[in-house]
Amino acid sequence: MSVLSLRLPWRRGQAELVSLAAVGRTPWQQALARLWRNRPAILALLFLALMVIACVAGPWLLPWDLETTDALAANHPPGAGHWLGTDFLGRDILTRLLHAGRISLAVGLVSVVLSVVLGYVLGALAGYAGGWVDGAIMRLADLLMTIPSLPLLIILGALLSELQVAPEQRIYLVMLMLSLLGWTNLARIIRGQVQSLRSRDFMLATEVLGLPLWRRLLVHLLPNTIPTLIVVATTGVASAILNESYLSYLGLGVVPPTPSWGNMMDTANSFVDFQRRPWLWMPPGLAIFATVIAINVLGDGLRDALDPRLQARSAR
Amino acid sequence: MNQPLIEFDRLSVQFATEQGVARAVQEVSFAIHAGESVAVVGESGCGKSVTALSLMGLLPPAPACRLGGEVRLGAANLLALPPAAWRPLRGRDIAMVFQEPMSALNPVLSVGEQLMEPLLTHRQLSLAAAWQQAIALLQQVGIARPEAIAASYPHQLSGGMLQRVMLAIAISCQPRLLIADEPTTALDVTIQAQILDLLRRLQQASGMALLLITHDLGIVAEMADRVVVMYAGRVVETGSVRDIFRHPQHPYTQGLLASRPVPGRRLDRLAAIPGQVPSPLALPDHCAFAERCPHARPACLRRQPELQATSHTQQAACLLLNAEEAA
Repeated sequence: MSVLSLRLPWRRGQAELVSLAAVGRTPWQQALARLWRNRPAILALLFLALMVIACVAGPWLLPWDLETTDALAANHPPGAGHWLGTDFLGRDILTRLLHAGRISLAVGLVSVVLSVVLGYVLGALAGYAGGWVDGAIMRLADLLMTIPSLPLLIILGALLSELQVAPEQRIYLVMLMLSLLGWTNLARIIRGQVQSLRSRDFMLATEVLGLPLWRRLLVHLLPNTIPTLIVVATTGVASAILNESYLSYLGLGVVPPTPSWGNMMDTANSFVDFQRRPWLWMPPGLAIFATVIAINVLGDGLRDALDPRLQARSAR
Repeated sequence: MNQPLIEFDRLSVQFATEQGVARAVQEVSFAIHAGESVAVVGESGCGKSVTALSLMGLLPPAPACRLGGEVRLGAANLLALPPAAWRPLRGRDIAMVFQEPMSALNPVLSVGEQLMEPLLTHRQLSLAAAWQQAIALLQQVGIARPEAIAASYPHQLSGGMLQRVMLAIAISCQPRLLIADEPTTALDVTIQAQILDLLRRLQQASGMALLLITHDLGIVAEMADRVVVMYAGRVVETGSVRDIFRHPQHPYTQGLLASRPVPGRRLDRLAAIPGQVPSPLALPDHCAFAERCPHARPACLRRQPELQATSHTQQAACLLLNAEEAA
């Protein structure tokens, strides 16, 4: 009877979990196995891997140089020599696209790493300490969340332009700006998790065992929040890439001559380029679109893989 | 008698709640001697778990919770200890086993890692030595293939297996007292017997004292040397297992014993004690059991009875024991 009921479609989620538990692996290996079965997520991961490899290795393999201009080859449409055409200075679009990919991905990754560190530390602190520490950190987070981020970023970007920061340093400041705004979401989630975890029996058990506080936090509590961390950080990369491209499109983020996917799309502002030369702005637009979608699909896949209860709920 | 290991001396615990002050434990006094098993029995909410938590320093801090009396470990009053002084005691002198083995182990750490924690902290063993010791402990609690079990995660093991692991963790630093708060309530009956048997063997082997908190009189009969019966936050009767089961003096103890199912005897209904436990928010100034007591007299509604000796090993708190006052 029970064997039969396990095979009914509505019980499939649970049956799957039971069989996995019997396989006898670490929680991480199980999560990996679940991720592997999620085809869209694996495709997204594959795409992102290819994108990273292309951006890192591509510019070395292509014959064109990033900065060299060629007046005779200006505004060529895609063809044999320049696969994606050239811009108004005769620079190869594909080379610039891949270079821009390095910048955009790096901005996304670095700003997320910074904001994750910030959000994780502040969130865990707020959740564990409680009291006025919690109040102060969370009110700051509320404040940052209530200010619309785009206008704030625009103001900060304009400030950078006003201070005439060199383009090379500007990238790092943009990363910093994005991470200072991006930590709030993770901090809130981690705070909630820490609050619920610290009252669980196994945390009480560590107290009963007389373990020192740092051990209880680092060894017992924080590993339980890593799945959330991975998921939030992944989707955070997507939003950081988007934010960078808004800013750069407006000329306030990464500025020329350093290419980024956002500032390459700036050409769409010119009516002639927009109408007659789609090879100038379509490739970076598609690159942003595909990368962000791939990251979000991967993020969803990671969430399903790392939190099977969530998956069971959505499947029902 | 020689110096007790733990002595509760008129312990009172009050919680400040939104509805008022809840008197969870009132004037509880009893002692646990080295190597002895003491069972605290009572219904849910009678204060037995709170009594145990006070021994671990796990009650909420001052404004939410007010403590009175003393809990002495040797000469030290545990209730007066600053929070920092608790840490070396916990796990090393006093260990605790929880009711739910499933939730008391961390899901993301392997069983072996969790078993090593107290060894690393209290006994300052090296990683390799702690691992060896963890394996030895698992063997000691009757786990075959200890290496494989140490490498597995809580979700891969059964409840009985996990409770064995919990016991291994609890005894890892050779505590002088083990608190077991309903250690078998979450387990199957057959596993229960195995765990209790293991618990008794471990206790005999190490000579530690056991404070067993339970509502199951069958477990009490099997495990305890002495019994403390609690009702509405007070001790109503204490005595040796023999005393309590053969000559219960307090009407509540008598009611508890009468409400047990007897194997082989079929009844339409089990005997029950009528009425309900009074709320800890509104405890009467007289005997809290008077409203439910089949023998209650007008005198019972006048004052709080005190524990008095009924034999040299047994005490009960009931006015009916003084014939002249009850009359």
